[in-house]
Amino acid sequence: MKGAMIRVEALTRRFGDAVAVDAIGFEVARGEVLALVGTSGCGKSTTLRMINRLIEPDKGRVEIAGRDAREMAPDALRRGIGYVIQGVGLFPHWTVARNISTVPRLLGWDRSRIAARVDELLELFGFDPAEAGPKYPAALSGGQQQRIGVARAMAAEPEILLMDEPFGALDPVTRARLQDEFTAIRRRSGLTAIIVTHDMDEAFRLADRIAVMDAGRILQIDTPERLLRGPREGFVRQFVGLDDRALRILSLHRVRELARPAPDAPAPAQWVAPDDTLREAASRLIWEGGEALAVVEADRVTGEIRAEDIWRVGTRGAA
Amino acid sequence: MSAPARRAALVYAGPALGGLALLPLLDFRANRIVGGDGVMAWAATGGSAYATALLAALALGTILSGSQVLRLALALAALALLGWMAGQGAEALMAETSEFARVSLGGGFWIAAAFLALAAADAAARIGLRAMVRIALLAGPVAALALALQTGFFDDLSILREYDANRDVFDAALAGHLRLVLGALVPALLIGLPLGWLCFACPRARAVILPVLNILQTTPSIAMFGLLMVPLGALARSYPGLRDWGVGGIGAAPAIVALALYALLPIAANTYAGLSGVPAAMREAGRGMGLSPARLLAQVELPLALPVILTGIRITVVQTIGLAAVAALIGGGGFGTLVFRGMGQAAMDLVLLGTLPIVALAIAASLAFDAMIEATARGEAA
Repeated sequence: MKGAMIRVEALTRRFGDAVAVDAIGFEVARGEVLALVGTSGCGKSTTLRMINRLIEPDKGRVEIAGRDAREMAPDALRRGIGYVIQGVGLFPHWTVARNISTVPRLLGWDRSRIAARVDELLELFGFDPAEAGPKYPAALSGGQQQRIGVARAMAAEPEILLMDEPFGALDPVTRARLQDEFTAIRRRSGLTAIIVTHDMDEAFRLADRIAVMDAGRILQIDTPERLLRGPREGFVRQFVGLDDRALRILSLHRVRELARPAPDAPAPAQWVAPDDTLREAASRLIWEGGEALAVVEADRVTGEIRAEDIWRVGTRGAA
Repeated sequence: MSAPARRAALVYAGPALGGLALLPLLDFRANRIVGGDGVMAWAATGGSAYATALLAALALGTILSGSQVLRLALALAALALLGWMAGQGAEALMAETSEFARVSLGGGFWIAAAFLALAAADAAARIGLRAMVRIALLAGPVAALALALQTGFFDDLSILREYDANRDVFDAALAGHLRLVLGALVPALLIGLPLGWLCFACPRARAVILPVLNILQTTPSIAMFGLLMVPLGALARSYPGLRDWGVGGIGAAPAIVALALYALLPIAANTYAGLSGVPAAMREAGRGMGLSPARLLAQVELPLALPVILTGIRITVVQTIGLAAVAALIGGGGFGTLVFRGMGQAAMDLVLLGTLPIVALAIAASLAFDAMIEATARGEAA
């Protein structure tokens, strides 16, 4: 792949006699989100930490935007890459604003630029800058802290974000909201990201491509849909989970992809929006027992979606 | 007031009154050395039945009072009244006798003063005052005491006679004591803090450092002085030039070295504990954002460990202030000089003249550190 933002080649790392990461290689294109998934101890976090050199590889190389990571000073390299971890790691003795400004300060930005960037990020993540900025992290909820953690990682406008179980410690509702928020923000900002997670659903929600890892190797790396339709035998098949794969495939598609034209009318009692997933539409159809649903935008019917079309998407061999 | 608080008040006010009832407020002696006659708080000469009754009422009030603020005020008022009774009584007794006579504070006074002070401290603690407020609150009684001393109200008490007679010795002891404490503390900090960091950064070093410091800590102080006499004496003999700096087998140098050695364990151990208490996630996040190890230490690890480190220094300072008294045994100076001289002369007032300032110094240092620890711990608990 030409112009890959991150390129990993034959990366290997041992801890004592154990091989944590075994000659793995992959590329992440500019603006792409890659998920590294696998069970605990499969080497996914070690791989991530070798990219910003928190761990030095024994063998192999990492290229960031075409430059060998070894040629850059580790601290300078890390300042250019956003890093989010599960424990968040906000500094409790610094205010929220001071936490967010950590890397810009290291880079020597001037005061006014830092203040403007902090306010911009707080707004982006749904905070009132005047209210949240002077608070200490202990005054925030877990979800808010995690948001500030992501904001802090994005503070110096890095092109790359590395995230290790970023939403792992949150309740399901907060996690889902943050996942949607993150997807919206990274689309707007064109960030390239690698996300480490053991949660397959999170990988499907956030990633453009998924690498399934086991025992220090990448067993399969593919788009979510291809992974669901053609998982390799063995571990991948088991980890991806095939019981509800039709529904999972449906959740990767939006209603607008299948909507057919329909005459303009006021919204009926049951309907779906164009940005709802096919999975949501299917669920509603099953519940209502109908053959088709109105697609509604701004209280007017703009089209319809048919059950047969949805089923076809979730069928083996479709693509 | 809650039942436990009431019981606590009883525990303080009861002994305070019991002490006054059973033991004399003052001791009257015809001269410095002979045995004394006890003067009870309500005695016709030197005592006052009215004042004693009022004091009893105030002390009982601390048990019955519904609010901690009132308890605090009553306890402080009782302390002031006790002080007034002592000063007034001494003056009355001395008015009738020769200038060789001595009036010293009796057992009843000390017991009542101690328990009333405890009652006040307990009430202040239950109000939950911040350290800065506690310091401000303490300034009142201290100022009142200073004023009373200044105006000569207590001048008839033998302890002040001793002070008058030994003013030069007292001033030298104060300077010597502070020199011992600071002289031990500065090197102990310069060595102990890096040692604590080393314990944290390198587990192999920790396995050596902490046990060695533990052994030092458990060595009795007299034995430590003896152990240091030999090498320091030899050093001074080999390099006579060092004697000009006070280095020798006896004197301040071995005392300061011993005190510094005792100070190492609390400083190093708390520095280590504070640094290892910093959550791994914070270290990981800091390194991941590109903070160099030195910056991480200065900006994240040390500030987060500071309350624990300061607690260690507080322990050290209070411990050193007390331990420095022993330095007088080897000619190290300090308030111990007064204590041991007083013991030699069987002059208890001289012993007190050495002891009370040590207690006052320790309390002052401990309060100052409480305030610092509170100030550095802000933010985390918010």
